[in-house]
Amino acid sequence: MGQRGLPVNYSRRGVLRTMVAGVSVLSVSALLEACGASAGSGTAGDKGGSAAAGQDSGKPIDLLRVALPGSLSNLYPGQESGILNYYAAAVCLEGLVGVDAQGRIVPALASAVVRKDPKTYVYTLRQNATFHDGSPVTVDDVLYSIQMARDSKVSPSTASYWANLATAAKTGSSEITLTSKTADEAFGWVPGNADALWIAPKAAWEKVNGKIGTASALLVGSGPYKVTSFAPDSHVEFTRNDAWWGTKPKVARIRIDFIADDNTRLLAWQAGKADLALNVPLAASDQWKRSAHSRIVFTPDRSYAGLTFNTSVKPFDDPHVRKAIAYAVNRQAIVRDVLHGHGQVATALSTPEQFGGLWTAEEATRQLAVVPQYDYDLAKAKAELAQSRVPGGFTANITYPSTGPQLGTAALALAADLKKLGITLNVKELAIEQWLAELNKGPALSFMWYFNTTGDPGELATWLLSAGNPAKYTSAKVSGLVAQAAGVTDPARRAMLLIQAQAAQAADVAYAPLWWGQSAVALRDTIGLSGYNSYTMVGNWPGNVYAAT
Amino acid sequence: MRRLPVTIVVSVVILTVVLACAIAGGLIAPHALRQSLYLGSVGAGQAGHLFGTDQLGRDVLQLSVAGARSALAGPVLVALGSMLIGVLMGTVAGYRGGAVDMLAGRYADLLLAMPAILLAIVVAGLLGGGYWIAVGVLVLLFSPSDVRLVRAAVMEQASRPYIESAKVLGIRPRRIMFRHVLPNVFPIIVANVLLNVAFALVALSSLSYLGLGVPPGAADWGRQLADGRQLLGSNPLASIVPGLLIILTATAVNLLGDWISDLLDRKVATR
Amino acid sequence: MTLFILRRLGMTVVLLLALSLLVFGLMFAAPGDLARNLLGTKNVTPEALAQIRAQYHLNEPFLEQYWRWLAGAVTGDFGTSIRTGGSVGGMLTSRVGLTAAISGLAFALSVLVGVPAGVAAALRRGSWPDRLLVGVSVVGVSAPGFAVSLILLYVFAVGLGWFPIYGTGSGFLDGLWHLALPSVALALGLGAFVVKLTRAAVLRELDEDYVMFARARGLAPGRVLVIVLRNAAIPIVTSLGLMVGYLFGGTVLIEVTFALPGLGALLEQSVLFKDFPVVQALTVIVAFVISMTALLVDLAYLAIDPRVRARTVRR
Repeated sequence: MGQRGLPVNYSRRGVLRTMVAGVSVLSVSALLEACGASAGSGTAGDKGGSAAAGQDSGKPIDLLRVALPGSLSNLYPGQESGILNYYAAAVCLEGLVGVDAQGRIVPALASAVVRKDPKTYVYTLRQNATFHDGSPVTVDDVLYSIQMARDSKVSPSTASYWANLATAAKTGSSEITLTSKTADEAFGWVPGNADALWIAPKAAWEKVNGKIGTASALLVGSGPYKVTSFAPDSHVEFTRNDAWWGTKPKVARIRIDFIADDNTRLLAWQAGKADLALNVPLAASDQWKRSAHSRIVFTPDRSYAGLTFNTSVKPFDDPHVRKAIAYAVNRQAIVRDVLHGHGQVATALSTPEQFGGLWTAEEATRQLAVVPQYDYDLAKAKAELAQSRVPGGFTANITYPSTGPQLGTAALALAADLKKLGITLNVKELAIEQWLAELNKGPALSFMWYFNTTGDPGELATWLLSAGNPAKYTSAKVSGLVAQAAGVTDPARRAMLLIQAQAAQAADVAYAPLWWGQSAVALRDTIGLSGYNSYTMVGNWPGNVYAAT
Repeated sequence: MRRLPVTIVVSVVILTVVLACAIAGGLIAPHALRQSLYLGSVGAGQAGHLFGTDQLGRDVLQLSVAGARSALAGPVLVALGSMLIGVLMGTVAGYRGGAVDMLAGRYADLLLAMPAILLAIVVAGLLGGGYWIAVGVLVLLFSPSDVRLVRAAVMEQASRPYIESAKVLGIRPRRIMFRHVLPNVFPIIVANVLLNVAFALVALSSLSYLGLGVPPGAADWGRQLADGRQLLGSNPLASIVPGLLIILTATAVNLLGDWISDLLDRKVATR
Repeated sequence: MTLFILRRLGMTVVLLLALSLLVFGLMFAAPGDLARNLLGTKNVTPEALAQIRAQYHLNEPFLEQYWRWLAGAVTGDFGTSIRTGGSVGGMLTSRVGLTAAISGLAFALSVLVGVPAGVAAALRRGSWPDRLLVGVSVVGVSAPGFAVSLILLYVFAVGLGWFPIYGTGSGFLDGLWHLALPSVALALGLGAFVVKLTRAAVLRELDEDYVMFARARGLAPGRVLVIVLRNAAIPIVTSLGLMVGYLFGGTVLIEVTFALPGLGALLEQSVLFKDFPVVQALTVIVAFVISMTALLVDLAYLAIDPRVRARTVRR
């Protein structure tokens, strides 16, 4: 008879989330500018989305029903840090800082931030902020939350982000000073709810021994909404917090249902069971588009997909082999046919939207195009392979996670082209946890599938080009440029250095960028979401929702 | 000779076609794996493709023909292998009872309670995955129910008068078990083997996302089915055709097998 | 008799211990790294990894880790889930009701529909209703699970609107209403098992001499059927017992499709994540249910068939 418990494919985590704990550089001027411009509105800005708008009718919305493409077992992102957890936490928990639509740091529970010197940040706590249980937000609560955030038993998934913290101290009745061990632009992000800090009352932490976010004790935060019910892997409900310090959102209640199965979610959408559906699967977008009274909005999600060659292993230690494969990938066809146009051919490691505070996406794309490219040309690929040490071809393996079927299709398309060169590419599918484990073993050829979370253009590039990178790539020139970029505060200069580093790498082809991806949301025609982009959802996104006419 | 029932004729036709594809798939559809990324997934009847194409531009009909072999070979082996274990263990357990019965029962309980996915990923991790490893894992996972079924059926037969008389006659236990009891248990065995072919067809494809079973891109009905789920909007036939083939083959196998088993049973039973 | 039961209970305890050790070992050997799974694909420092490993005792020898778990388990403390941070006992209690309900409903459906179908097929052996019943049940089994669920949803939930599309509902009756379609999908997926085995068992009995004698003696067909069923009961009860085993913990696909937080999906997630406290606890529970079902089935054999009873008692 049949066996028990053998399931079929489904996506447990909606999106792969990756974070750099090391050195990342962020523009100091943007940080100061954002602090100076603090208006306490708390909304994530009003630019960036494309067809997301309707006309704001100004009417309040009683209940917003959201369909989430995965399931949450814990509401505290320090414990479970999938990107969907961030979306849910952004609604009810705050950090000292937050993020705006351009990816810049903005005030949250700290009304002002001053960076006294490269390693010292002074936060002034907001005066009128209260928690959902009515108690005021005090410096002690913040310090305790930081302590919990650094504790790897309480926050296993995000504690390592605090590795660079030297001290956290109360320096005034409403003042906190954080000092970092090394001067690091990325540190400005850490005490925020888009990164690694979610502030709850000290008493709440102590009552459950640090295990906030489970179903047994409802989460207490300070955000625009408070949790009224949470059934892990089923749903979570929020009610607006009328004592919140920011601009009151128009939505009174939110209910988020976790519907992991794509087809069920589509059916539920077609039956009118939700007003907003996140992360619509690309492959089914046509079906979603055909649903009544709804529209699908695509936006670049600052994801990078590319090939990684382990340059310390045969045959990929030979630059001719790497170039041959780079010439054999038909990126245009992949973006056009596999992604159905919902993506951009990647010319480099940084995505254009990462330069949000500096350039528009179009300008950034232009700037990034200076990186040398290997356009699809099988003749050139054959010529390169002929010059290599394995002119007759060889066999290679590549794996992809079951949550990223487009990677598998791209791999199969590549395999067909490589066959013409005499290279056999064996493609294997793995569950995401197994795929991550494989990646950590340093395979000869692998996919890099990365979703940027900060607004730092060097987020991925710095990791991939510095010491200890997955391709075992060492180049004095490239690491020199990256190290230089780390110390530069002027955003334009820094961006140029990073692009130069990537151009230098492209000559060596340790990485072959494939595409920059897009995500889609589905909206009911009665709902508008202003300024929808990849940064919106990790900020106060319900604040951007309005009833459309 | 009685007229053959219509359903049996249809089943025979279906199975013959499928077997032909399994054996000669390479001859009938030599270009099944040829891709055309530019074409992508098109619907039925377009660009000369009767059932349309999948996301890599491969013809669904040709792919289905080529996929017959892996769709049949593995499941049949799983069903037979599992029943082999079932017969060997279950007959002895049901007939002898005592310690052997205890052990067989606990073997069954253990395997039934073990999380199948855990066994699958450990085996895949240690032995590298692939089609035949998956077949081996499934044989192991299907065996407990066959053991239990055979044991129950044998237990029931073992207390009957004809077995008593065989014992009194001094016939050796092994002969009693396999020459007297087993033939009377045969119909249940056959019914279950046929059904297991159907279960195994489905199970084999469900292992693919763990790295076991058929690799991506190979021609296999289960693979096509899983990949075709994303194409329900652009070419639903990419999923429907292999799905229907699975259903038709499994049903044909069961109907034909039951009919043959009935025929043999009636001939064997003396009246 | 009581000795028989006591011996079985003793064997069950041994089985649970052996299984928990085996599963712990398999989790140990499984590919993947728990520390990595917690930290994600970040570029983490070796210190962070070492800290996580020390905190969850991952560096200790295998037997020590197992003993730590066992010591807690026998006192009822199944520990904390590494993935979610919640108490394992709490997670299980909140889900076991749903899984029990859906398994129970599916079981009831299989019994109430599957057994009569199998009997009817056997009585009309060789005719088209026989083939139809068997054919339909095999279609239910071989049809891809997601397709069956989708069709059910499309027709009954979206089209006719009789049932909800997903979720658990609130309250008892609403909950049952939400479980209707998933139970039907489950029963369809496994139903052929009961139908075919019932048919095979009844068929074999119908061929026996005593049936011919009983009919020749003028016994009413209904009474003959009852006698036949009693004799055919052992394989039927076996198949029903196996069904329970498969239902409890084998419902992942249905749970995911209908967005039900049950034990099946939890088990799958936990195995892949290497969240061993949860996997251990779940396995022990499932093993307990399966062992108890097997015991009940064996006791049923004794109740049904006096010849088996005699043999067992004699041993």
